[in-house]
Amino acid sequence: MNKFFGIFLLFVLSISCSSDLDFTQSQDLKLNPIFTGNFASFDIKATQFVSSGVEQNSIADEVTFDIIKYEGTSGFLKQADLNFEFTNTINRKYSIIVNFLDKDNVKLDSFSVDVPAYFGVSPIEVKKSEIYKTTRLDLFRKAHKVSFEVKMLPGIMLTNSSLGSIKMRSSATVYFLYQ
Amino acid sequence: MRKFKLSLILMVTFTCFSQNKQILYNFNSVPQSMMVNPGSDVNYNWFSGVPLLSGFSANIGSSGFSVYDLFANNGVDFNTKLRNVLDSTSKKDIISLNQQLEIFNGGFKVGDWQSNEYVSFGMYQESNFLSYIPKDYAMLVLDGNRDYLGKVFDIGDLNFKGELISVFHLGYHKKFNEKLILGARAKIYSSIFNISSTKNSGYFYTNQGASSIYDQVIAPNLQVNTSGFSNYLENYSGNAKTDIAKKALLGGNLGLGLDLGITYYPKENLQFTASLLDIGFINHSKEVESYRVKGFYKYVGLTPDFVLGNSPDILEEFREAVPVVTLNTKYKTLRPLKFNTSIQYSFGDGRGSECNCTSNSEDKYRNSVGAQFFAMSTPRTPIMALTAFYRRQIFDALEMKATYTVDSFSFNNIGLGLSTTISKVNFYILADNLLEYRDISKANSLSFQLGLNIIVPSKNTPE
Repeated sequence: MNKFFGIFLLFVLSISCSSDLDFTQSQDLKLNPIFTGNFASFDIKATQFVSSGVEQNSIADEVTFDIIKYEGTSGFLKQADLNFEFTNTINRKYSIIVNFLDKDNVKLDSFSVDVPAYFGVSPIEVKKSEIYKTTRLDLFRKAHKVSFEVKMLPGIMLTNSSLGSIKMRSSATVYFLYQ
Repeated sequence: MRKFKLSLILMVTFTCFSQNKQILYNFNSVPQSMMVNPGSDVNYNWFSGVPLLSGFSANIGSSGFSVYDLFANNGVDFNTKLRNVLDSTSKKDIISLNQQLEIFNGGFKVGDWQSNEYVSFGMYQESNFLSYIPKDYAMLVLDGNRDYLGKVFDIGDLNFKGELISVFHLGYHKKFNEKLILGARAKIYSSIFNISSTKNSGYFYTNQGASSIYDQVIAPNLQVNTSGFSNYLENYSGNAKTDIAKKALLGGNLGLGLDLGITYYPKENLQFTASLLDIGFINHSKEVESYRVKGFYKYVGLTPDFVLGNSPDILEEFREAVPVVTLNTKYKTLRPLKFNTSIQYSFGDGRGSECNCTSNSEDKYRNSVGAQFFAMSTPRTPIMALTAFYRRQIFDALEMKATYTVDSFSFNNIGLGLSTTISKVNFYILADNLLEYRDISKANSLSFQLGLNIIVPSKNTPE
């Protein structure tokens, strides 16, 4: 009877074969996901440039910026694209300055955008893109804070009843590479 | 030679991942058939499995892709293959590992030669891992979200469970008359390790926004339960081998289970069987550590307010909105419930031929044909399979069963089982998915089971 088992086992073994496999190719794994999300936004009313009846030429704020530096992701970051949209409905021209700062408030990178004044026709829209890669990306990685300075350039004086706003919307598209 | 070795390794390690033992089911010359139907129509005075050799199966499988799809040495870039595999799989596909080893197994007839009551007992070790393909997670890891604006990623795609358990069992089986056999088996489970995360939900999406460029929301409701691990994670100074042995011998997280089975003969040559296995649970109360991530966060990016100078810290905000909480509360896991049923028609009189089969109803016939149905509960939809089979008593001591099975994963699963009992030694060998052996690297699943038993047949007359 054992012959039958022998024949069965031999049959299974003789018909069984496998295509050539190479498990080491898993070392070639390369992941390059691209994530996109909001970067920053603000909406400043015209009246925010007036304090106690006196016009403020510049207002600024800074916010902590740690999300890209999050442990385990920063090393795989290969590029970051920042895309900004500015919309002005105030009859004043603005210059908006964005600074990337380290923990000691040392400026690492900076760029500015001029937004023309609104004259009551259609809202003034300005777009700007900033691309961070190679050495500029290293500065981006080191950034701990981002400061936004909105400078109001000379024009018709704003009052407590002035209308309109200066808005910013922006997105970040980050490119990772793991291999 | 390399191919031969690979064939051998895979043949032993691959088997049907649904734990459907369609060849073993109702293959009653193999005592282990009682493990899939405690009410099966067996006939012996006593039997004993050879310790550690009476039954072994190790299973790994995937319903969505094969080893070949990922690792073929065909010049195609690995990343392209990975992409193709992801494209060809869905969140319903399963990756599974199941391994069983009988430590000991035995049974005996209670009473004299006329008795129709049997007791069986044993212990086996089992490890399981089952995971649905976390397709949405894989898409995010491979592609990110940029090209999927508007898509709602399902956080509930994370659905897996794994365990290492030992099982002690004691069965009772009675032939009430020529038509009806009933059996039941009580089980005590001792869980050595367990990890499960099967009731997750939640979503993540990125849509075009209004005040910000995107409307981005993440709302997870995830929980991963573990037991048996926590002592080993930090400052462990014990002896792991001793610890694991103790847990295997009823020192782990304990549970109870029940198997039920029936065999019924409406006519002498017509047989109906059914079994319900692993109606039970394990209570995890020792070394329990669970992690819960639950919350809702709408990400709007940096929001300078130009007034107070105290703009929020996004990471801090996120951690508060979606906290990761470690819990030490006990939890319960249900065993994967399995249901088998079959109908069998027998023909060809065995009496008077070389088959001296007079012991029980079905052995009076040399041939049987029939159909079986199998279903097993999973964290999502049950796995089901339908089998047609032909069984033949070739010689007095040699029995063969051939099966053709259709399930969610294969339409060409042909299996073959042989069982021989020479003197008192029973040896069985069961192989599944035989067509896949032509190139086992392309197989989604294979099974191979074998074992060795000592069987003392039932006496038909008093001594």
